[in-house]
Amino acid sequence: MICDDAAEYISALCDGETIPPTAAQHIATCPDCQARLSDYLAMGVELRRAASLGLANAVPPRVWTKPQNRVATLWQKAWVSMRIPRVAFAGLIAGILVLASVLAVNRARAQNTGPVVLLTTVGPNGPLADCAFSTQDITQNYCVWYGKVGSLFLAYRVFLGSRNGGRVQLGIYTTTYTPGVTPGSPESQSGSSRWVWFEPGEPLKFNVPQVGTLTLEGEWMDHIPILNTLDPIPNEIRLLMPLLLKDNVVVGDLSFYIGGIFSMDELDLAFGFYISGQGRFLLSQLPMKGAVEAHVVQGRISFDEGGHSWELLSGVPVCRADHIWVLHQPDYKPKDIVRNGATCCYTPKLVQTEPGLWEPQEKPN
Amino acid sequence: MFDDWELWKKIANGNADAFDIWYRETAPRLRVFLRHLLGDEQEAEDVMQETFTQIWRRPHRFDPERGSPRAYLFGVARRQAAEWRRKQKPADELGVDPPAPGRVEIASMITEALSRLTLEHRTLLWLREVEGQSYEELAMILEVPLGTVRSRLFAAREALRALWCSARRNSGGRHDL
Repeated sequence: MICDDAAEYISALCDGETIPPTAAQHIATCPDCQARLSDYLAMGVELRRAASLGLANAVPPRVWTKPQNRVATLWQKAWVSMRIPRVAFAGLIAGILVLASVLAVNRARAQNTGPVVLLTTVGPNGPLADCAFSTQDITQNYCVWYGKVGSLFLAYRVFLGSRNGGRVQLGIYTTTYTPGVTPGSPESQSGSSRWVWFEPGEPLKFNVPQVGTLTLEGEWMDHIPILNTLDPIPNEIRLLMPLLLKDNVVVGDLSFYIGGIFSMDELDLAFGFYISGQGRFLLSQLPMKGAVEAHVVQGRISFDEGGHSWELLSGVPVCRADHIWVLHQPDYKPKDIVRNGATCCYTPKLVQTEPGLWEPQEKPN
Repeated sequence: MFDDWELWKKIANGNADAFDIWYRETAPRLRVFLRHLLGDEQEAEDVMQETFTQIWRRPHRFDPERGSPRAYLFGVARRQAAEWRRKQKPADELGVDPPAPGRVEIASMITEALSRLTLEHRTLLWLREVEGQSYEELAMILEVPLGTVRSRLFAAREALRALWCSARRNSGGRHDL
């Protein structure tokens, strides 16, 4: 131990601290450290003595009152010293409030009449579909819903036409068909279309034969919201704007038919679509005769068939299962109209023909 | 001797009588501390009054978890003094200039040497040697880690010792107290 190392411990000793034994031993025998210790102690004594000399004077007495609110005090001072008539001042304040409230109302109105219409369609048994339309983006001006209502399937498509102030013109196409019957596309059905003027905030009802009354409800929004939940329900097959890839090349685009959600939770029905040049594909969660097992991860269905790798990509998770059965019918000839190189959507009924195997049974339309 | 904590409970509830007792008990020591910090009687008086006024207005700023009311008082006073020095005479805070003649009333060698230290060393030595503040309280007052207090105290003592010994040698070993 040297004096430089022990010096800080001398300071600590003066503060009533304990120090390491080696330092204590050194300080006890080192004349320099002893001198430092004496100086430190003497300095403390002198400082306390100097302080004692200054304590003789009493402090001046004070009255302790709680301070007033500074804002209130300033306001009182300003009110008393005001140099303009108080009526004029009150008028000024009232004017500012009126202007501010007008601005606030205009701002609220601007939000209420945003460029997006959120349309909710309610069927006889509850909500059917939510659709968001943009009055500024023509790629966001239609909505398709395809699903079961009661014992029937309903194909429901809505187009946004023109906008007039707070109203919009909607083109509504509906068709119903019995499950298992091969359908044509909704637009091909005569007598199932109508154009209506719709004002968000004012519910609009219309009748669909065999289905019942549908009610449109809507509101204006300033953005296109995310409408779909990501979690499929049990036995459900869901698709959104599907793309078919063959050996990593896109060979089919079904967004014309399934621009919105396609949803089906009937286990004994298959879902099918036709792609020009590739044939028809039927999907089911039941093993179909001649079908291959496909791997499902979220919105991706992958399978190998006919020496090719296939993928069907969907904008939403397809089903809860991690596999699905795909029956490829390359020689299938569609009877209904082919648009954009595709036809959709087939829902043939599945009949069990052997233990553990099902086959699609289709009746003519 | 009054109970600091009992008194503080009343002060926190806005009891003016309790605050006045605390003021009369603690103000003389605080004034001496500030006088040695600032080197001027009137400035010390002003900063002291400002310190008490601030605590009286906002007693809830004191956190009992962090130390005693007395340590809090000296901490507020130290900040007020530092702010005062920053506004009035920033260069003096370096402690390199000797105090102006007549500014230091208690003209002893120890207080003169003390006045030549930096504001932080002066504060630290005074609070430790005169006020008897613990390392924990010093850490709170100076807003430094606990481990730093011991090393800074040593540095302050060394600085004071150098000045004091030098002054004693120059005066021929005479203690001018």
